[in-house]
Amino acid sequence: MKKLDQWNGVAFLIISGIICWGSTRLPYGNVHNPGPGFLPFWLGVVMGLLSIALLIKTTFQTERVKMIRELFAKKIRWGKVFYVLAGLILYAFLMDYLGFLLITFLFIAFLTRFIDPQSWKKVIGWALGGSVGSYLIFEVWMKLRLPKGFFGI
Amino acid sequence: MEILQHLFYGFSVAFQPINLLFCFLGAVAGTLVGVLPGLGPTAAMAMLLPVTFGIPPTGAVIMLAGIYYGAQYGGSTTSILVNIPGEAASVVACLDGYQMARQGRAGPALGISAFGSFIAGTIGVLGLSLLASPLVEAALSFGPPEYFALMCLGLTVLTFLAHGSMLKALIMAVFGIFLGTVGIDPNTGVQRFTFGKLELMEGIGLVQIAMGMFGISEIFINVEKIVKVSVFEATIKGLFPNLQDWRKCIGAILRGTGIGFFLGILPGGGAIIASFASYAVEKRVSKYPEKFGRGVIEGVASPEAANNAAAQGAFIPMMTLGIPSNVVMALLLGALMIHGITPGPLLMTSHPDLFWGFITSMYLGNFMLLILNLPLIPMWVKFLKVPYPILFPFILLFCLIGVYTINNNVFDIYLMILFGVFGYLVRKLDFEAAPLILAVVLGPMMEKALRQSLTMSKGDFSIFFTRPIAGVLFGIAIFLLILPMISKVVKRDKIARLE
Repeated sequence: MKKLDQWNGVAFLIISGIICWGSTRLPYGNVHNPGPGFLPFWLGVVMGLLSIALLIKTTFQTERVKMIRELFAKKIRWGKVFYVLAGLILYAFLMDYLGFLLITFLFIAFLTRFIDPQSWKKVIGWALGGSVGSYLIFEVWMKLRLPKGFFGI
Repeated sequence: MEILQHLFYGFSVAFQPINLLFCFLGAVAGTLVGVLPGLGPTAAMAMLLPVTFGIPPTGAVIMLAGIYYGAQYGGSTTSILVNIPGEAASVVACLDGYQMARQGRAGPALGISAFGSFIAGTIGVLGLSLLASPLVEAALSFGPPEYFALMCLGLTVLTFLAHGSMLKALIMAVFGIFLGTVGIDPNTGVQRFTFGKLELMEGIGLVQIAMGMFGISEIFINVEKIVKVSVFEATIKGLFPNLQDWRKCIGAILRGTGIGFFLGILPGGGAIIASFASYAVEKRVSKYPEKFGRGVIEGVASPEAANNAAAQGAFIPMMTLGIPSNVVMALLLGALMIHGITPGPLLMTSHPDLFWGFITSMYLGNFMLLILNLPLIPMWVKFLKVPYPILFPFILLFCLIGVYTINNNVFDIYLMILFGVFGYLVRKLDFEAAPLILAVVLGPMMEKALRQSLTMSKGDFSIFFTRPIAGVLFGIAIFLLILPMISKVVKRDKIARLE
């Protein structure tokens, strides 16, 4: 089990199992008049079969295939990916409390400073311009209702 | 001359100032996203979908279409100048275009790509308006089994043309259909996989999925490595190709247009495949194939024409049958459905203003792009110089605002982030996102057609094979599914014989 697609097969086999299990709790109907559980169940079955086919095919494949360790061989900045993800989640989590203007300022400042660090002058400039600019475009001009937060902005 | 009447009517709609404005906005936005690497037409359309909710459907479609073909134009600019394709369909333009730029012929390369695109786009629109009416008539005889077969074929072709393993593309497609079943079942009102969440009752939104899988995950991919863009500092002079260039190119442009248009119509086809195919053909018919890849102008003209013609051709199955042939069309279909319009054979008669206005707007849009693109190239190049570390927070911000404003609900943001992570993972694991998105759109339609067919036939599956059109469509789909296996066996046979 060193090949990437073997693990892909297993992962989707598990997912298809969950789909089938979930579908059995819905009314299946019958083949004359399929119910809401009919299609999801068979989708799960088909996906499971495809996953098994992928697993078997990869296991017996003699040509060169991608190995699981190749995923980690390249130098990947996992930390930066995590920062972006954290930034996104925090944005969603805090926007109702801080309001659009403030959270957008912090968001842009955080990403420009901590992913590929820019000088503080640039960071503040882009964050200020970006937050105020997008506020003017989306809230004032297009009249979209953006969250207000504690300070009412 | 019914067709002229239709076109005339279409122009009267497209020339309305508000529609001209939407067309212009779409074309400019499209060129911009085409120029910016790491932001393809799919992500851009997903981002702008929420903006279109507030405008009339005709304007919305005109603008979204503008983004699509505008991106084809813009993408080639960066291919030629910096050897970085702004979007996938422009990869081929890098081969000879960048070489031409290095030999100091950036001007003619950009020029021929714009003119080639314009010629192809124009012929494409004409073909589209000619083919639309007969296809609509044929489509009116389609019943649920035919639709089901056609959608299966569309998905199969897309997986067949997927880059990597077909099995994996099929897994993505099936998973996409499954995602489409989430929400309240329209027939019975039963909740499916909603986990009791109010936000999931109406299903998982296409915008959330598309933005996550194309917008957010693209950023993850780019952020994980250090991106450095070096802009080719050539002075661009003489955008007009000379007479000799034209003589070489006119055949190439017409061939590219033909190939692109027909590949565009095919379900699952589209601009990317068209550009590769036309390059291959051009190389084969050329008297000097060995020079390709070293700066031959036909190598720019033909694929550029092809990807534009394909962009037009792809609208045909969408507008006449209501079946999107690729992801971009799926998003457009999603936009129409949000406006309460179901594209299909009835669209032409029920919303003639939308149908013909939209087709003719593409003609105007192509013209706008021609005058827009050539003089503005120096400005587009400036956009390229915005460093990615500053660009990407803004792309994320647009995604966040876009997805939030659909329902003014934070839940949609979490959903988008979730699909962003999912998209990132599956890309790392060498899956393709395109079949999944197409399946999400087709899924509910497929289920409806399947259930209706089975009710019609009282549970007999042979209905899909005994009705001639459905049978043929299914036959092709099954053939495509088996083809990779056969070709592998044949190849193995050959190798065995050689040994």
